[in-house]
Amino acid sequence: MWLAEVEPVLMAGPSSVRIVLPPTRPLSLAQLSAIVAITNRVRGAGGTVTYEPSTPRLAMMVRAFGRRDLAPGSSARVGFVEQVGESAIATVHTGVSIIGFVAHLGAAMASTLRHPATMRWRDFFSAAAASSADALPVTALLCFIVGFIIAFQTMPSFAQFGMPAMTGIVIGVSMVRELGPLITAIILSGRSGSAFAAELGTMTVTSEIDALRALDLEPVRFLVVPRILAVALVTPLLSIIGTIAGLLGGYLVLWGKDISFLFFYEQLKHSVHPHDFVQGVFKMFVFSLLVGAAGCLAGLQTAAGPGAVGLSATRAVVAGIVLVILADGLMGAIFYAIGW
Amino acid sequence: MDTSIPSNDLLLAARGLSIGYHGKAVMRDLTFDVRRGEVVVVAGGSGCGKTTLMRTIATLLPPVSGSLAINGHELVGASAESLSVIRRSLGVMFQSGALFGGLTVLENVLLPMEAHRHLARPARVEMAKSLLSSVFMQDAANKLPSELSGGMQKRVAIARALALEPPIVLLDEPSAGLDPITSAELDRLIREFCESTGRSFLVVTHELPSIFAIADRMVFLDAQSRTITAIGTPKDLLESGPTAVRQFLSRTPPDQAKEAA
Repeated sequence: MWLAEVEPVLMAGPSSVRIVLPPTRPLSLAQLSAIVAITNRVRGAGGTVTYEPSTPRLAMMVRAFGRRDLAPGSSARVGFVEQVGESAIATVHTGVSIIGFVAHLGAAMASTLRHPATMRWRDFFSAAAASSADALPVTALLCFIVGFIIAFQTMPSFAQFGMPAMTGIVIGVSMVRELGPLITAIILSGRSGSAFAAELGTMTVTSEIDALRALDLEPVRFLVVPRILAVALVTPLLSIIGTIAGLLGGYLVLWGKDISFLFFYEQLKHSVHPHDFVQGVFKMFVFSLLVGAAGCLAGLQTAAGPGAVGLSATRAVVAGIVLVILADGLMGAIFYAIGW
Repeated sequence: MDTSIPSNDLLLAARGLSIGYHGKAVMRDLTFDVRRGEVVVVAGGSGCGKTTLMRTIATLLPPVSGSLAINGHELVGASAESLSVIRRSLGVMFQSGALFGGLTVLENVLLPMEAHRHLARPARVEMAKSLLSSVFMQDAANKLPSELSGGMQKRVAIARALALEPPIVLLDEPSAGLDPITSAELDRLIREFCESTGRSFLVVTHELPSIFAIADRMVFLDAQSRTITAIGTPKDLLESGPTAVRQFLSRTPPDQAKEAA
């Protein structure tokens, strides 16, 4: 059935049209689109269309395909409430998959720690090097700049009260407790989280993950555990180096105001306590677990298609940063509540 | 839930098996066997569910309903332990080869042995090299998969599938994307492995030369009726099988067959 063949009939503006369908074979997409086009034209002119045989499934398909908001050239309009609902459902699905993945990951990690010989040490060292040594220059540079900016922005306010040297305390507390780990985690998400998603995503697309399962090798234990343990163990060290770089960046501004390094050091000693340092390292440990898990989960959930791996890498970075900031807020509240 | 199959020679037995995705069947009522030491080809037109069947047997997709016993173990409702036993009794070669890109050819073959065979490393390496020799890939042992041609990758994938000496080997479209000479070499290899080791092969393909070269029996999946419509030797099916199977095996499109009639 081609539209051109029925065009003369449609031109006559029939008040009712009966479409006789093939008895057994399922409709092809071309046939369905022709039926939809005829239905829309006849009904648009006030006529009626009947199908023979008429099934609820066909009526549903004609309605679904015939929606004007799905027609080429017009964008589908989704209401605000619908959008919020869809987002909420998607968030719940993502949350459920993350919880399931974390449970699976916890079991796999416990098993690996009980039997360390089963760990893929090559993957572990490769991920450790990529997320620490290779990330060191960019982390140190960004932390240095952020420390510099904080000092630059806060010093005028302190200077108004005649206490420019107090800037050192702000830099110390903010870099050690907050910004050192946070900036390191964001860089980790951009570098390692996306890399994990791309690596595992490519393995998913090329059936390597299926091949592992078929060989009775658990992908989470085999691929995910080494990567997450690597980032969790080495990135707290990276965060310490980033924090030191941030402090030096902040001191650069103080140095411009002729404040000695010894004075800055004494200020830090009195304002930054050992538990602040432990808090920063602990936060970084949690951040690295979250970023690693988000990257690996996005990789393992990669769908088929040419853009799937890129999409997974994007999802890994976005999920990683969102999780890091949520966890940062949550930990900040808990530490405040317990007076730490 | 383990169900013993009375005959030791029945390595795979599907009974009223429905397969599909997310609990929805795309193929129904599949009943066929794979016996010890035979090559069974699963054939059918594009989109008939060959790969879905392959993924179900490879334990990557849960069966929707029915029964599927592999090496005497029931897959439907299998516990994690049973699933592990089933997986170790299957060797699987994927259409793309699916070699691990970060590992060398030798490491790819060694990987399942390291995980599941309690042998000293020198013995494992010796076995892996011997497997690579049997597929004529001994000289590429230290190369990465990306340095190999498609045919070479598939030969390595066959060696890896045989690493745990499984009684049944699944091959998904082994000839796809290969030139006729390489494809014929691969067919010869499959036949040789079957005859020399007594292993069974279940090969999913729609390449006619391969079907006639390797199959002891052929299972024909029909996309229209969504089930198996014929089982037999390719020669018998070509001569006296159902019309759709004869058309498939003689490369006759349905409209030409109508004209000829």
